[in-house]
Amino acid sequence: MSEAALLAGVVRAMGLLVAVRDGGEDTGFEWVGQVPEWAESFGCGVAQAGDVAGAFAYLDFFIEEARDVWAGRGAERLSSDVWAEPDRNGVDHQLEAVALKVDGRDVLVVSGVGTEFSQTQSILQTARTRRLTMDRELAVRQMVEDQLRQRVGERTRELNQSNEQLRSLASKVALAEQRERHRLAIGLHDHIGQLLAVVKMQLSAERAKTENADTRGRLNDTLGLLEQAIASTRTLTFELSPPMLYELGLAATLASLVDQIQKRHESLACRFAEDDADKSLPTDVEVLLFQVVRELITNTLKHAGADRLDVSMRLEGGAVVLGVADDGRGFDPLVLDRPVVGAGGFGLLSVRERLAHFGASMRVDSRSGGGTRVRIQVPQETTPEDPVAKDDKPVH
Amino acid sequence: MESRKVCMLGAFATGKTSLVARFVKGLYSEKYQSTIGVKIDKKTVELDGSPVSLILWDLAGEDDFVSVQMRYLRGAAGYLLVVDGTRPDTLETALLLHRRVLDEVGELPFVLVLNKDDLREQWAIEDVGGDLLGLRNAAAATLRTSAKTGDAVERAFTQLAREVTR
Repeated sequence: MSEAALLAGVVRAMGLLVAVRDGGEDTGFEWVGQVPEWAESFGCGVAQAGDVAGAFAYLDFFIEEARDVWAGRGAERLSSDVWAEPDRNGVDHQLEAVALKVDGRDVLVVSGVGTEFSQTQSILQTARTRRLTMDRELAVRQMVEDQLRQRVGERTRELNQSNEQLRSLASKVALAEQRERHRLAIGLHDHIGQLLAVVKMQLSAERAKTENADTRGRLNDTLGLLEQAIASTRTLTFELSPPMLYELGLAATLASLVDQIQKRHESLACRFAEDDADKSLPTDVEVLLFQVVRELITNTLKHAGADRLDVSMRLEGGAVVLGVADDGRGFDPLVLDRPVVGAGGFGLLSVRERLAHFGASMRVDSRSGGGTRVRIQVPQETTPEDPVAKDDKPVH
Repeated sequence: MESRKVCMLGAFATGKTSLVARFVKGLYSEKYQSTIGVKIDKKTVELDGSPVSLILWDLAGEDDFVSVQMRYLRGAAGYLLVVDGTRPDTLETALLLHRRVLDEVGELPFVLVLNKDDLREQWAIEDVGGDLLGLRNAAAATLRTSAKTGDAVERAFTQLAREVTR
């Protein structure tokens, strides 16, 4: 066997497709030796002149890349990347090519590399698969978090709506209560109070006319009791709903309240201060503020052990600012945020909510032994959900 | 018959090979197998009664390990830029690849494809109606496709064929 025959046998056994051209770039490649079986499915045949680019689309690209090798510039050989291409039956083959210069001739060798992944390819495949899995897990987690966030948002909105409805309801209830208290106060003042006054006048007249000492003494006792009844009626009227709140407004009523407190608690130095600005507010807001200030003063009287009480009302930048301050023993302001169940008083937590309904706010500064300062700020142009005009006074 | 080389570009696992398999063979496989180097296919399409042979060069996707070989675009008439609609980062990769084509090859017509449209619940690219990082305006067309169901796949390749034969 000649060397040429031996080499042809080796090439064939290894399944290599070899093409050669002698005339440089102007000529085409021709197959050399026997075409391997796999190459026949690409249309390569012994009898057929080698149309390399026609048989393998990739080689059209690779031959261009290998020009320098065949021109004797640079490297003596060039290996292609692995590529995949279907044969005429549509079966994919994984191939690679080498460009060489042998005895001055341009040589092209194409070989099949099988469909199995190399070790490097397997690592790449594994890494990408893992990355995809991680991405998907991340995406699912993100989706679940988004859904949860959306649900929390919906529930929060519902809760806010519900709270707003509760605030509105609380305001309406408070308003209804105040109207009823006002009605009772008016009744007490205008009817019972008037009757008692008339009775007092008549009894005084009778006393003036009588000369009997016993009768005069009994009338004096009765008139004394009547004075007490009239005073109690006035006090009760004021506590129920001071008529002057509706007639003269909040500032005058607070001044009167502080005056009364001073009279009843001589050891407490009480002071009311206001500026000259117009501090008028809608009646409902004034009623609410009066209740709040009265409750704050009651707290001072009951718990603070204070020597001094300062109440103020001023206009600051379009807002009415009320202040209640004492020099008592103070307390933890956080206590105010806890709802007081069953207490007969005016829970300050609900006060805050009702104030908020009118766009108002309340700040409490207090510390143990350092007194208490409460500041309530109400925009003069309040926009409650269910506004009541200044002149929309309770029906008597 | 006219023949045009077109390339498939995109991040890894965006479905480039699946789109080609659906278009050329009408097949789809759930199994993910990364493309090594380049995979070449051919398909003849009819454009206004004239056949055009598309030589499809499906290039290995871009990721941290593999960089798309822009030299494979030599002789290409256009490309299909593929984005996985369930992975927003693949849109950013698409933008990077598009810029590299402009830098290294020059301006070529391309069709932008938002693939995996069947995975609606996992869809993560929010501005489908927006400019998609500016790619929508640069692309000859933008389509939502599904290699799995075949939706809009034929249309995407036909659109690209029209662009590269103008």
